[in-house]
Amino acid sequence: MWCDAEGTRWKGENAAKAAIAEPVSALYNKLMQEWDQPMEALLFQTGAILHVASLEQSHVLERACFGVPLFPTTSDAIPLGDSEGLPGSIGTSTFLERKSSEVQLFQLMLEEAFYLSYHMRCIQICRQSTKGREYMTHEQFWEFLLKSKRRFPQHYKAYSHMRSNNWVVRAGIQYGADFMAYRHHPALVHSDYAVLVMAEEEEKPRMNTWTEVHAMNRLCGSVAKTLLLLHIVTNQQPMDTTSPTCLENYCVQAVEYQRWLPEKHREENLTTKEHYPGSEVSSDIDKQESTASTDEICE
Amino acid sequence: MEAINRALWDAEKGMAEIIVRSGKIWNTTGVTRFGLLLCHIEEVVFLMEQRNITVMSGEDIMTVQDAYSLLTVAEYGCSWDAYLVYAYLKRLGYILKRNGIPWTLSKKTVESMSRSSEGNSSADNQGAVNPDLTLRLMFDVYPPNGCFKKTCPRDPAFHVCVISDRPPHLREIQACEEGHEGVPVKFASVVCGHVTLFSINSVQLPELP
Repeated sequence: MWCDAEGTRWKGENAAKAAIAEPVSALYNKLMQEWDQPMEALLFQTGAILHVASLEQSHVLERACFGVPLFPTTSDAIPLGDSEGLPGSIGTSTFLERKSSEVQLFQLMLEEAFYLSYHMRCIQICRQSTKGREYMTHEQFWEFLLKSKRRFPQHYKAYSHMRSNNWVVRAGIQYGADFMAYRHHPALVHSDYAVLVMAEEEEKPRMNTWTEVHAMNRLCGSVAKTLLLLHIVTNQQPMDTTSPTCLENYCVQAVEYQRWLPEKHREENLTTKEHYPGSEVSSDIDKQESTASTDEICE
Repeated sequence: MEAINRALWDAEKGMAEIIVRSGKIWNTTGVTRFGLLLCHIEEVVFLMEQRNITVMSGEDIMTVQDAYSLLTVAEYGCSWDAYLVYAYLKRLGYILKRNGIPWTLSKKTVESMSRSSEGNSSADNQGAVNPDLTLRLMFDVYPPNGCFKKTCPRDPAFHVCVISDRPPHLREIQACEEGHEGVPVKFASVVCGHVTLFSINSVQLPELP
């Protein structure tokens, strides 16, 4: 692992260099350029299948982590998850290179599909029916999304807030979270956050017992990620969500949850101000340590 | 065999006066009030568990069981769960004091306090209570330090808020972050006797390159 000045945990110095050479914002700009052939996404109940027309589009989507490659797959199929390889153009020997023809079909989750179509304007959404293929406007797509996923506006606000700040955001289901957030491609960097979306005014609020907080924290800790709650708040009550413009009325407040182990911080300078002089532990304290602590140390 | 340290419990004040003291523990335990060294109930219970003090309640020697029962008296200001947090950190060498009360009060300091502000008459049993907050900051925690001095303690490393029944709400977390001169607040969950400390902080997600 290799940490930079900002504390980003890169998977080695080469990974850091590759990331600096092609920052996430550059990838997003590439996606938003004018393509000769537009990309089309076929919508179904819980996602969309995106068809890409060119090799370049395929590369950019993979490097920016939109969607999961569907077809064609290879015999050296790269497993889904953090170890996804990068196409050769970033090109250090550290990373896997896809050996066969490039991916043409990606599976998108609903938030990705809306972000690519509404925010980046680089894909078109359509539906297949008995009458054939029909293209959807943003408003029609939004209406569909409100019915497809509970609390879609809040989930989408969380997703788009992070993507707009150049974070890479992926599905979190494999980790028991709503999203996973990375500072760059997962092949280059260790994930920072397991993200949970917190809507206001829930009948059954999440994370409102210590049992849940402990459970989420254990889950995150075992995969070296920090738990991040994104509270989606608004001044407008009631909120009219019939149009995607309602997204401007939501605000995101981020809260990190981390277990703090006093056993591990005794020798540290905990204060941000000056040191205490002579911070050795006194002999009376050693006497007090003979009783067992009330909590097991699980790391 | 009785311990060297002796104290007299005052049920009305809810504090013990230390009448015989020995050892370095008194550098980091108890508060001084006009020349007297006084302890809150959690400090007394902790020392009794260590068999490091004999406490008299009137004519009788207080038993550990008596002392535990006093922890359940709301007026004495420290719940059983808060005691578990206290003992956990103390056993690891941290230095603790109740929030909102000074380590030392003498005639001099009271005079200067009443000149500058209204003073803290009921301070000894109450932690700082923010009216917007249903939560209370229970303890100030200082890192282990063999040279700690009550007369110049500097800022605590963090405050602890003991909240057993549920995690804090967003507004409570935000209220804890305001004020307190940049000293962070950690939240202690106490469930079935298990103490866990959490750092729960608002963050500004940075815009990445």
